[in-house]
Amino acid sequence: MKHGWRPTAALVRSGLGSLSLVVLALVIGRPDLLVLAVPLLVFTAAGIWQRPSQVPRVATKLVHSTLREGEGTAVRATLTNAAGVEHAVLALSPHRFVAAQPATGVRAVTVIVPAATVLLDAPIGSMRWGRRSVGDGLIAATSAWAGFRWGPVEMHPSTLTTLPMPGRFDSRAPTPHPVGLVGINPARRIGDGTEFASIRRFYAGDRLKRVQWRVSLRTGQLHVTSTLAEEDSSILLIVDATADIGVSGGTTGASSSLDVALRAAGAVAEHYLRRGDRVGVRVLGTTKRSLVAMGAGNTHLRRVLDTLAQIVPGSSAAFGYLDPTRMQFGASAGTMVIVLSPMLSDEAISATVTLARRGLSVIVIDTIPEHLDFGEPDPRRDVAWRLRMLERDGLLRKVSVAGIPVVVWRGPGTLDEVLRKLGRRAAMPRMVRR
Amino acid sequence: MSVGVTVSGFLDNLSRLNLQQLSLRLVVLVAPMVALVAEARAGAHVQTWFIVLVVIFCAVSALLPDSHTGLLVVLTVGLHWALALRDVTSAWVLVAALALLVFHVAGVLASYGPTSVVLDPLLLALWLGRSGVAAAVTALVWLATRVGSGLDLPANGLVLGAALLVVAGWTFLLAHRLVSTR
Repeated sequence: MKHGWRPTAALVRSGLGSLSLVVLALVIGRPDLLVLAVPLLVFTAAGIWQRPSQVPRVATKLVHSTLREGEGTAVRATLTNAAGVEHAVLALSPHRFVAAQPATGVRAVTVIVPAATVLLDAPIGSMRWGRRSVGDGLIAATSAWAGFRWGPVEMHPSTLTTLPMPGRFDSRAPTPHPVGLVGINPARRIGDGTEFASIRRFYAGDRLKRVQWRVSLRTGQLHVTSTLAEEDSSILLIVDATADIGVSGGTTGASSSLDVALRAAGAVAEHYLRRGDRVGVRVLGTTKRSLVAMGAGNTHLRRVLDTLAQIVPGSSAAFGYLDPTRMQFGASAGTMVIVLSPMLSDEAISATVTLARRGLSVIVIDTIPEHLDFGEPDPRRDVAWRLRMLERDGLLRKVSVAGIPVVVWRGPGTLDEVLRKLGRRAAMPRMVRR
Repeated sequence: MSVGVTVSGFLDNLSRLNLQQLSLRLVVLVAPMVALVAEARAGAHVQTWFIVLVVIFCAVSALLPDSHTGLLVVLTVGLHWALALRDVTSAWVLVAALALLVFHVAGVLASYGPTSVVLDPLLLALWLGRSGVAAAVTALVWLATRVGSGLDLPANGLVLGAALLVVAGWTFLLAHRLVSTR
């Protein structure tokens, strides 16, 4: 549909109103009617005199197409051929989890000196992770003296990717099975690290600075301090997206289980990748991309967060046809698996237990928020939820029997204690299930 | 789209009215009343039914400033002035003309965008200046009519014909511009 300049209701009002009064004044010879017509006549003449000659074109884009939760950007509408534009107004369509400034999403600009290009920025903020279309709405322009109007013209939406909020997470405990080449986790083998391993006899090739002089003098033989090698670890994050429990209020409201899971996954991935470890992601549930292979570095962090942002909450239709025991997780020996799940589905439990039985260190982070928001109060739903929680206790017992620790997400230090216990357990002899 | 949805959308829009837009729409409602008061003070008898009619038109104009109801207000007030009064060039005609000017400008400003739009002070200042120009021209024409009525010139068919020709030319230009933009 072609959009051109059209006379405004104001121009029609002043034009026809003044014309009628002037004709009447002349026909019946009433100069007082001419006085009544004059102000409208002035606006009509000025409005038509300032009639724009070029039809504007609009192009919209997002200033930033990727954000973190709670961050803001702007929808930028660029009007070209805008020499006749005196006032432009933009009204954004409202979207859930997208905040606009002002809240109505209406922005206007006045152009005093005519310009060929007019920019109109409407600030928006994304209040929840995910991918969504934003920037659609209407834009209109008015010529000088409000004589002519162009539009309203529909603006095309753009895709805004919102990465999970960088949650606060820190862990001082080493990972239990570092199996890489270089890193900061103390490995099981002796090597050139900083963590004390033992004091042993000197062998040819040992560094002189490692000589332990006290023991050497006491025993009469040269002894050295040996250290553990330091290696990087592989961390596999399994995000259970088969269900989203609770009503999400974005960054300013209550969190749903998937909010907790994604923010925790993002924070854990960021922590380990910054330490130089390798991190992979497997999403249980239907998403566009459900597997991110092990990798390291900042680019990989972006890949991980991008995959998390693509998760569609609650779309688990395809998952029911998958056998978790046959799923490909891309986890090699020594990988530490962190399962982020509300632990409400058999599939998630099966996947967790399967991985533990493969001899991997598995930790479950319970992602059910402390304060769940279900929206409107409903006594029947509360009873159903209590029953569901009783079922969940049964499922969690299954997990405990398999020797898998379950921790509640608390941010920094969530994994410290459980990682130390896993580290001690890894050093102990154990029976392996064949 | 059902009527219910349309009405609820309209009411939603109204609920988003800000103070600025509310004030402008109030002016749209009140300004023609000032013109009617001026008409009454000039000696016209303004009937109640006519006041009610104008109030209805004004209310619709205030609710839908981008509609053509404003034209009805101008025509109704103008025609009533023509019918109810005999050639009045007192200051009350200037007051009525300025009231129509204020009505028109408030309607223009209220129709610049959605109900929640906040107009730039720059734009408001611009329209204040424009209104001043229009008011000045109106005052000059009023003074000219006062002088003209004082001279008590006789009716002249030639002058009337020339004036009608000018109006016809103006109408042609206006119509041409309006049609060519569609």
